[in-house]
Amino acid sequence: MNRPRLLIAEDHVATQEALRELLTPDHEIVALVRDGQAAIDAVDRLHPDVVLLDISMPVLGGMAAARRLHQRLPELKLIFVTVHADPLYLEEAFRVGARGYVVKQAMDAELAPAIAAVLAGGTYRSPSVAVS
Amino acid sequence: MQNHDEPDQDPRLRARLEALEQEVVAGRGRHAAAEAAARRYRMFLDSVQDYAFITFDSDERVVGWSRGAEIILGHAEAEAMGLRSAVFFTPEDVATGQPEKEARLARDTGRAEDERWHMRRDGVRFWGSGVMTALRDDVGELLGYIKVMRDHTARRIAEQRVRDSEESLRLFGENVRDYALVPVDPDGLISGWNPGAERIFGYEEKELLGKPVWVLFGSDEAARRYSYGDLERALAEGRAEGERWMFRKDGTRLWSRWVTTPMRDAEGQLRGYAKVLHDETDRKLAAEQREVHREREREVLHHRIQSTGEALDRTKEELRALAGSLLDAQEQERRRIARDLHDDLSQRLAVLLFGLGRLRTALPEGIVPDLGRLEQQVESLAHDVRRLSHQLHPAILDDLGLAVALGRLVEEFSESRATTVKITERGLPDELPAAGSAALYRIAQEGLRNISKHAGADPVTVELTVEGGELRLTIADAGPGFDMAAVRGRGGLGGLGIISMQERMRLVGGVLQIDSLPGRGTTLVARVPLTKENP
Repeated sequence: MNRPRLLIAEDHVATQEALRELLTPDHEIVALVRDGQAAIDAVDRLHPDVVLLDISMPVLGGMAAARRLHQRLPELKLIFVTVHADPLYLEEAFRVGARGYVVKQAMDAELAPAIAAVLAGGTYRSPSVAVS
Repeated sequence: MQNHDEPDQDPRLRARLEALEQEVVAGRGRHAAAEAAARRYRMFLDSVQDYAFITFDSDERVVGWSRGAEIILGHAEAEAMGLRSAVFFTPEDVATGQPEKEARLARDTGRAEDERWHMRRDGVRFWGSGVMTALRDDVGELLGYIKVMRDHTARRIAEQRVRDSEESLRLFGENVRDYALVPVDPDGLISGWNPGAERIFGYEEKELLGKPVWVLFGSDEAARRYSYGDLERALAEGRAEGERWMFRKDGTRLWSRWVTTPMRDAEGQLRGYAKVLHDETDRKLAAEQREVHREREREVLHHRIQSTGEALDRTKEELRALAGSLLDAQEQERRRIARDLHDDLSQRLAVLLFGLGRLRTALPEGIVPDLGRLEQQVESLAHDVRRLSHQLHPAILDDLGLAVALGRLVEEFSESRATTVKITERGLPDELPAAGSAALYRIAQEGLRNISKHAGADPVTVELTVEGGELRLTIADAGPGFDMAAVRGRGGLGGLGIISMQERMRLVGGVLQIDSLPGRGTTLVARVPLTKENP
C-alpha cells in the first residue's frame, strides 16, 4: 500500500518539526506551506490525499481556506490540527467541510488514527474537545 | 367935570363929544362881547385835554397855553408864558436847527408837520404829533403861530416795535447762513430766499422767487409729488420733517434735513409755509463712510469667526482622528499580543506537551507519574495563555467570524448574569468584513457590559442581520433606560463609553444609534456597510 500523500499548512516552525517527526515514517509529506492561500495553490499542483490545516495562519486562515477548498473539491479530505480545544471551533470546522479535528496537545496519539479514519471515508473528532 | 362949562358952550363940540361918548359906550359893548367870546374859546381849548394848544408870537415865544399843553408838556401856564418854542425840542433837534426849520416852513407854507420827540418839563421825552400854523392879520402881517399837538408816545413805541421786529426778522433771515429759510406761499411757490438758501442751493433769490418749491427736490414727477406731500403733511400734522437727497443749481447732490411748518395769520388763515432746510451732506457722507467701515469690520470679524470656527472644526476633526487612531492602535496592539500568545506560545506549549508525551514510552516506570504532573502543569499554563490571549483579543472572531464570536460572548454573558439573552442571526454571508466585525464585537461587549451594570436581569435580545447592504447589530433590553442627553452632558465614563462606541463605528464607516428613555428600555443599533473596501 502506498503511503498517504499529505499536504501540511502550518506556519509555526516548532509544530512543523513535530509534525514531520510524527508523520514521516508512514506518510509522504508532499508539501509544507505556511498559509491558507499557499495551501490552495499547492492542492491544485500536487493533488494530495489529505490536507492538514492549522486554523490561525497568516494571509488566509485555515477556516476560510477549508471553506474554499471544500467548495471546489468536495471530496478532498481536510483535517484541522489546532491548539483550539473549543467545541465551537470543532463545529465550525465540520461546517466548512473538514472531516477530522485534532488538537495539537494530543496529536501524538490522535493524528495518525484521524488520518486513517478520514482516508477510510470516515470522520475524526478529537475527544479532548468534548472534555473542555 | 370942571371942563364941562367951556366945551358945553360950543354946540358942535358938544355934539362931537356926545358922538364920542356914544362910540365909547359902543366900543365898550364890543369889547365886552370880544372878551366873552375869548373866554368861551378858552374854555373850549382847556376842555380838550388830549391836545396841547400853544400860541406863539412872531418871535416864537409862548403867549397862549392850554390845559392840554400843561398836561402834555408839564409846564404850568404861568411859567410857560414867554418860553421859546425851542425849549420843547430835544437837544439833538435844537442842535440841527429843527425849531427854526419848523417855524420857517410854517411861515413860508402856512403850516409845518410836527412829528418828533419832544421834551417835557421834567426832561422825559414824548412823541409829539401835530402841526404848526402861522397866524396872520387881514393884511398878511405875521402875528405869531399856533401849535396843536398830541402825545403819541404809546403809538410811536408800538409802531417802532413792529418796525424793529420786522427789521430784526429781516436781519435774522439775511444773517442766517447755515440754514436755508424758505417761505412758501399757500400754492407751493417760493416767496422768499435768504442768503443761507443761496449759499446752500446755489440759486440767487431772483431765480427762484415764484418758482414751485419742488424744484429743489428734483425735476421729475416723483419730486413734485414728494414735495406736495411734504406740504400736505405739514398742513395735516402741524409740521413735517424730512431728510433726502436734493439738488443744487449745478446739479450736484446734497443731503438735506428740513422742517416744514404752516404759517397762519391771527385769524387762522393759511398764509403759506415756512421751510427751514439744513445741508447735512458732510454728516451724511461721514455716516455712510462709517457704515461702510463698520460693514467692513463686520466682514473682517465674521471672517475671523468663520476661520476660527473652521480651525476649531479642524482641531475637533484632528482630535477625532487622533482618538480613532488610538482606538485603532490599541485594537491592533491587542490583536498582535494576543496572536503572539496564541500562535506562538500556545503552539510551543502544545509541541512541548507533544514532546513530553513521546518521552513517556522511553522513560523508566518510576518517572512516569512525575511526567504526568509535568504535563498537567504545561496544560494549565497553556490554558492560562489561551485565556489571556482571549481577553486581549478573541481569536475566535478572526478564526470563526463575528456570528460565532458573538454567540460565544452572549453565552458567557448569560452564564455570568443569569439573564435571558436571545440571539438571532439572519442572512449572514460566509465572510464578514474584519474591521467592521471587530468594531461590532467591541460594541456588543460594551453594550452587554452596560446592560449588566444598569439593566440587571431584564431580558436582552441580540440580533445580527444583513439588510440593505449593511451589517446590523441590534442589542435591546427592557431595563430602566436612561436620558441620552443627560448621559452625554454628564460626560464621565458613561458618556465616554458611548463616545468610544461611536468613534469605533466612525472608523469603519458605520453608524451608532442609541434610543433610550427612562422606564422604556434601551435599544442600540450599530450598522456597518458591507463593502469590498471594508474587508
